Amino acid sequence: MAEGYTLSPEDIRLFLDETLDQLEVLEEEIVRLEGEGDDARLLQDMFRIAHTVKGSSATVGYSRMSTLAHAMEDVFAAMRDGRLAPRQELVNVLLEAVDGLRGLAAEFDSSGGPGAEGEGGIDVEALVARLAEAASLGAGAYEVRVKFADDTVMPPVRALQVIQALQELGTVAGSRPSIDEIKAEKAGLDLSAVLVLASHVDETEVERKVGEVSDVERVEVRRFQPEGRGTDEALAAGDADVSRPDAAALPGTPGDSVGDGDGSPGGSSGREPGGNGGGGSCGESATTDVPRLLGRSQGETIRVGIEAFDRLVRIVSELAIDEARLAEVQRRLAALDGHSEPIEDLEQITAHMGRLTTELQEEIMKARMTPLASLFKRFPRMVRDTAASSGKLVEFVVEGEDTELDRALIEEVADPIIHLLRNAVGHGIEPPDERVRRGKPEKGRVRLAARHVEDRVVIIVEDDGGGIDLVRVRESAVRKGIISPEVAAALSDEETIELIFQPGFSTASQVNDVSGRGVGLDIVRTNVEKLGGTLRVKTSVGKGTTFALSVPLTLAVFRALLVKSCGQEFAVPLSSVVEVTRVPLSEVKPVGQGHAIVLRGKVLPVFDLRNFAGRGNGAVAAEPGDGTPTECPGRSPERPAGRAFVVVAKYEDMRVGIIVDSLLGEQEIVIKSLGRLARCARGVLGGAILGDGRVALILDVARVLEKAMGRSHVSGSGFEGGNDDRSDYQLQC
Amino acid sequence: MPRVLIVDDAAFMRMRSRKLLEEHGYQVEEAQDGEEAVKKYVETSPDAVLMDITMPVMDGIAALKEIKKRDPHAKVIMCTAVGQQSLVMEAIMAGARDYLLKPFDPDKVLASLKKLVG
Repeated sequence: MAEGYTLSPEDIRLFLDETLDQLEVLEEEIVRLEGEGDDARLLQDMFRIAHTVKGSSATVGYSRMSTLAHAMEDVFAAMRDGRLAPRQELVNVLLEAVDGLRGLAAEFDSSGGPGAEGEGGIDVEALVARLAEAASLGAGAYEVRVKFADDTVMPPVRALQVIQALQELGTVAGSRPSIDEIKAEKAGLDLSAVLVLASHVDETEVERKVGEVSDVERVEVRRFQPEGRGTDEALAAGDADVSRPDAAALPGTPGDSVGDGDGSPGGSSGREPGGNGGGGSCGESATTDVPRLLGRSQGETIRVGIEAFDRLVRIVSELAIDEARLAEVQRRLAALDGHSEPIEDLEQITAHMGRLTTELQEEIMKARMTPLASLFKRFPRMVRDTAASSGKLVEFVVEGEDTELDRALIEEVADPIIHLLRNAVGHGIEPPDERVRRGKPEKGRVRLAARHVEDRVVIIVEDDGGGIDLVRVRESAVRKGIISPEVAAALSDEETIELIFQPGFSTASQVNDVSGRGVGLDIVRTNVEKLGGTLRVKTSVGKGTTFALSVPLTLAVFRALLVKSCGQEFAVPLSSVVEVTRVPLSEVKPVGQGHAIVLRGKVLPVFDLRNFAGRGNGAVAAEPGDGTPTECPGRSPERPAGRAFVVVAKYEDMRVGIIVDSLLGEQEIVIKSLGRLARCARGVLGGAILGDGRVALILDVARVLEKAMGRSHVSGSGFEGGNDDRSDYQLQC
Repeated sequence: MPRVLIVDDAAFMRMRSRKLLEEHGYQVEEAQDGEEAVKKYVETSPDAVLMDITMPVMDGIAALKEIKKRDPHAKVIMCTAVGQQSLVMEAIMAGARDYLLKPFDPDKVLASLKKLVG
C-alpha cells in the first residue's frame, strides 16, 4: 500500500505522535460541540483535523484509518454546511470514532504497520456504517444496488470497480458482499447493497458514476433511511433537533424505506415497539439499523444456520414439557385444595403459558419453512442437459414451486427428485422418432409439481413416456432371483410394480430391459422413508409414469396420539390416526400370516403393540385361542373385560388397527433420534420426551402395517424372503 | 482524434486491434512489452492504453504501475485471458480503469474506449 515510500521508525513515531495530539484536540472539540451547538469555527477546525488525519494515514498506507477519518470528515462537512445537526446521538458516535482512530494508532504502533481487518481489532466498517447512519438523518447517504450483465466476466472485479467509483464520491460505509469478500473474489452478479456517504452529490450523480463501470446493467440509488425512522417518526421524535432542514425533504415513510417488500408486516411491526418505542433507545437503534439494512437487502432475510433453529426447537420443546408438568402440578393441587385463589391464578398462568408455548412453536416452525422454488430452480438446467445427452426432446413443466417445506427437508428431498427426473427424461421419455411412430408429439413432457396435502407435501414427477412394462418387470425379477416364477405369476399389477423398488432389482444393464426404470429406486425409496415419507408409482404402458413422493411438512414437531402398551408409551402420528375404537379381544382372528378384525363389515389387519414392546416372539398376542401368552411380564394387564383399544391408522390408502392397552391423549411431540437403537427397531421413527420425562417411541405406521399384513405388498421389505422376521420389531439389539 | 496505445507482445493481436480502432477513428501507437509501453506513454501521452497482462521484459501490471506513477490520471484498460481474475483485481486496485477479455469482442472494446475517452 505504501508503495514508493520507505517509512523509517522516526517517520512512524512522528505520524503517531502528531495523530494522537490531533485526536485529543478533536475529542475536546466534539465535547464542546455538544454544549455550544453549531459554532462555525469549531466545526471548520474539526473538519480540518479529520482531513489531516485522513491525509497522513493515507500517506503511510494505513487505509483503515484514512477510511474512518474520511467518514468523520464527511460528517463534519455536513454539519459545517448546516445539513446536519449535532444531536447527542451523533456526538456519541463521533466520540466512538475518535476512540476507534486511537485504537488504530495503537494497533499500528504495536505491529509497526497497518493492522489487518478482523481479528479482534477495531471494526472500521461498523464505525463508518454508524457514522453514515447518524449523518443520514441529515442528507447524503445513499444505498446503491447494482446488477451486472449476465455475461460479465470476472464479476468480483466489476464489483471492486463499483466500490472504487463510489469511493471517489465519498465514503463507502459497507457493502454486501463486503469489500473484503470482493477482494477475495467472492462476488456474483449483484451488489445487493453498498452504503455510501457522499454528502455533496445527489442520486443522479451517484447513478452516473456507477454507470461508468463496464457491464453494469442496472443501478438503483436510494437515499439511505434507517429502518423504522421515517419522516413522521423522525419529526415526532425530533423536537430537540431544531436545525434539520433536510428532514422534511427526506423521501418516504417507514413503509417506503428500504425495508419495503418485506412480506411479513406482522414480524417487523412486532419488533418495532420494543426496539424503537422508548425515547431513550435512539442511540441503541443507531448501532443496529445499518447492519440490519445491509443484511436485509440481501433478499430481505437474515441467514441463520439450521442448527440454530434445531436448538430453538429443542429449547421450546423442553419449555413445552415444563409447561405440561406445570399444568399437571396445577391439576394435582386443584384436586387437593379445591378452588382456592392461588390455584386459580396458577391455572390462568399455565393456560397462558400453554398458549405462548404453542405460538412460539408455530412461529419457529413457520420460520423453518422455505419455498421449494429454491430447490426447483436447479432442475430446468439439469433436465435440459439430461435430455440433450440422451437425445430426447423434453418440455419441462414446474408447478407449485411456492409450496413451502421445512428447510431441513428440502435438502433431503433434492436427491430423490433428481433421481426421478433423470429417470423420467433418460428412460421414461422415448426418443423423438419412436414417439412419432407411436403417434405422440415429438416432444416429451416431464412435469414436476408440488402441493400441500394436509400436513404433508406431495411432489409429483410425471412423464408421458412409454410407461413401465410390467411383463418385463416380472421376467426381470424372476431372472434376478428376486421372486420365483410361481410368485411372479400370482402377482397383481400393483404388486408387480412394487418390484422396481426391490434391492437388486435393477442394475445399469437392466435399465433398458425394463423401459429403463428402477435404477437404484430401492435406495430412493429407503431415503424417502427415512424422512417419514412415501414413494409410490403409477404407470400406464404407452402413456407414461407418475411418481408421487410425499413427505411430512416438517421433521421436527408433530401432534401425536399417545398410547400405552405393556407400560411403554408409544406415539402415533396424529396425521395417520383415522379413529380409535374398542373391541373384544375374542374378535381378533388369524388371517394369513397376520391377524385381523372385522370393523363395520370390513376386514382390518391388526397388530398388537405388546409384541412391539419387546415381549413377543412374532405372534400376535391378542388371540386367546392361539396359546401365545398375552401378559406383560411383571406388569398388571390393562385390558379389563377382555377388551382392548384399537387405534385405526392409515398409510397411503391402507389401514391397520393397532391394539393398545390404554390411551393417554394427544400431544405435540418433538422427535429425538434414538441413535443406534432406532436402527435396530425398524418400526420406530424415533423417540419423544413426555411431560414426566419418560420417552415415548414414535411408531412408523408403514412398518406396522406391513407387519400386520404378514409381509405382503406394503413396501420395502415385502419381498425379502422372511429374513427380517425376528429382528425387525424388537428393540433389543 | 483520440490516441490509443496498444501494448501486446503478439504482433498479430496488435495488428487486429489497430485495424479495429483505426476503422473507428482512433489514432494508434504500438508497444510490444511493458518497458516500451512506459517509454511510448511518456513520449506520446495517449488518451488511453490497451494493456496486455502477460508480456515479456515487463508485464502489464508492472507497466501499469509505472505509468500511473508518471501520470496518475492515465486511462489504462487491461486485456486479460480467462483465469487471470486475481491479476485483474490487482490491476484495478493499482488504478486500471477497465478490463477486457481476450479474444476481444469488438463492441466491448469500442464501448470501453468510448466511456473513457468519449
